[in-house]
This record gives sequence, structure tokens and C-alpha cells, in this order.
Amino acid sequence: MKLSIKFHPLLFQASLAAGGVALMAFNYLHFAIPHHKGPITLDDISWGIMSPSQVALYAPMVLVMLAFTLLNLLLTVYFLYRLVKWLREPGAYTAFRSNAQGNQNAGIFAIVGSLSMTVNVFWAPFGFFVPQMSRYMQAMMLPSLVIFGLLLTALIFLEVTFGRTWFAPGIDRTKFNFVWLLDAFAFGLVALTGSGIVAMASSHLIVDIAARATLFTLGVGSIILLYKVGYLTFNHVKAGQLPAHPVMPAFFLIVPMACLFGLAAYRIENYLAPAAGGSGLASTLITASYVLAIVWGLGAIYVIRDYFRSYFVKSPFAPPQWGFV
Amino acid sequence: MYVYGFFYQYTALSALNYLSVYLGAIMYGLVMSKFLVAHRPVERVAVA
Repeated sequence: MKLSIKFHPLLFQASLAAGGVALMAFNYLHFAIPHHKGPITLDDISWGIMSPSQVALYAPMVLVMLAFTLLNLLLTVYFLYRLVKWLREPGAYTAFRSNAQGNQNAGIFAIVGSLSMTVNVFWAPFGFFVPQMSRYMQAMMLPSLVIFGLLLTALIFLEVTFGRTWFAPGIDRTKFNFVWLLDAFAFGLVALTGSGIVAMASSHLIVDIAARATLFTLGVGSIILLYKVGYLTFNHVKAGQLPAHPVMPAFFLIVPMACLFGLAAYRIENYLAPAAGGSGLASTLITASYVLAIVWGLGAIYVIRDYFRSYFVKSPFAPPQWGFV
Repeated sequence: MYVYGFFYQYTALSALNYLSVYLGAIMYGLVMSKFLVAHRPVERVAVA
């Protein structure tokens, strides 16, 4: 049976979420299992000397990571194919861009976010299953820097282009919702990619370029994030009511964003630490970001508790639901 | 204990982190199933 999927940039949320699950599994294994220097690989796990309970603990995690890594890569290829076809349709992109009411065109940033996630999936979970990759990691740093530069350029271009539509006359910004934060989310994901290069590359030149570009990304992303969260929170409180059911899950976008900004800042601060005299700011940054993520997540669950109780299970699909993953 | 690292000094944190991966996978499955249902092709009924 062939599905009838009309292209929309928000489709990329499916590959983005799959990459997120794969990366979560990778991070667990990376920190839980002792291994050689660098990212953990399949060769680092000695299944033979593990107890049955350890095998039962880690084997399903590896399978989950494999499934979601493949899902991320396959969906990315498919959605890129559909994106190219969409861009070649006369007027499709222009019509989408000009539809700024209710921040409906903010979905364009899911594309940049998803592609940034795929770069991270390629380095970490994909590298886990192809241990030979870790031997050639340094050779991949220059191409990674080029891809990071392209993603950042695309992101800035889209931010300027779409930013104009949100502040154009006649646009009622009081109707905007938390989906509007997708651009800040994309900034967080691009910063994660840049900071990954800073953490992994051994070439001083590559590290230096990546660190400066990541600092810029973090700076711009943080300003956008703070402004939008402040504006949206103020508007929601002022309105005295929750948004419509389909967009409620977008509240959860803050959770991954806090972690992304925190982790990227942590890596950059570690790079800058010698100059800063090891201020301990890095630990404070990452702890604060994870505390914010937990507090916001619990707060969001409380605020939309009725959504979970009586709506979500039987509800039809709505793109912001990917925010839960 | 076969764990180490900043977030793994505490078993409860480690367990929460472990479970969160599966929770993410389950949520993904739920949302993806809704997505697939929403994009089923509409079957045309032949009118005699």
C-alpha cells in the first residue's frame, strides 16, 4: 500500500526524532561501558565477559540504536528526495514562505535541524556500528567542517528570509505558538554539530574555525531563544488560556533545546577553559541547562496534563507531537 | 558497578537515563503510527 504523503518541511521532524532516539541510546552506552579513548564502538563491547544481566541490559539498547540509526538515514534520504522535488515545483517554496500567519512557515527550520542531527548520527551511532570509521575520524573533520558551514549559512539565510515575514505588517504575532521556536532549535542542533568538531578534531585550524563559528551560532541562537520564549510566555499568560490541542506538544521543544545549548556551550567552554583559567563555568552551564530541561519538562506535563489524560491517545496526528520524542 | 562517568555515579540517574531511551522509542512508535494513519491513501468508492 502506497502512502499519500504530501511534502511539508515538517516531515523532517520524523527523521530528526529518530536521530534523537539513536543518539540517546549511543550516549547511554558511551557513558555506561568502559571503552577506549574516543566514541564507543561495537568492538569496545566484550559481550563474552559480560554477565547475562549486562547482556540483557545492553543488547536491546544496541538494537534500538540500530533501528533508529537506519530510520534516521533512510528517512533523511527520502525526505531530501521529496524536498528537491518540492523546490522544483513552481511557486511552492514562495507560497510556503509567505504563509506567516500563526508562524505556519516556521516548519522550514526542521530541515536544517534534521540534517544537523544526521551529521551527529553519522559520527556517533553510525560510527558505533562501523568501527573502522573511528580510525578515519580525523580525515572526516574537514568535510564535517564544510557541512557545518553549509548548514550554518543555510540557517542564517532562512532566519533572515523568514524573519522578515514574521515581522511584516499585518501579521498577528499574538497568535504565534511554541512551534515558532523551531529556528532556535535548529540553531541548537547546528551548534551541537560545530561543538562536536571542536571536541573531536585534532587540527588547531579546524578547531579554531569551528569554535568561533559555534560561538557565533550559540550567541545568535540564545538571543532568538530568549526573545521568543519571553514573548510567547508573556502572550500565553496574558491570553490566560492554553493554545489549541494540536500545538500543545510544542511546549516540550524547550527540553531538547536546553540540553543542546548547554552541551554545545559546555564543549566550547572546555575549549576556552585554558584561557579562562578553568573557571568551572562549563560544569555550571551543563548542570543549569539540564536542570532547566527537567523543570520545564515537568512543568509542561503539569500544564497540559488534561491533554495526556483525555486527548493524546485517541487524537489524530499533528506535527508538534514529534516534540514529545 | 559496571558504570562510570559524571551522570553515572548514581544508579537512579543511570536507570532514569536507560528508561528514557525506551520511553523515547515508545513515543516515537506512537507518533509514527498516528502519522501513518493520517497519511493512508483515501480509497475511492466506485459509484454505480
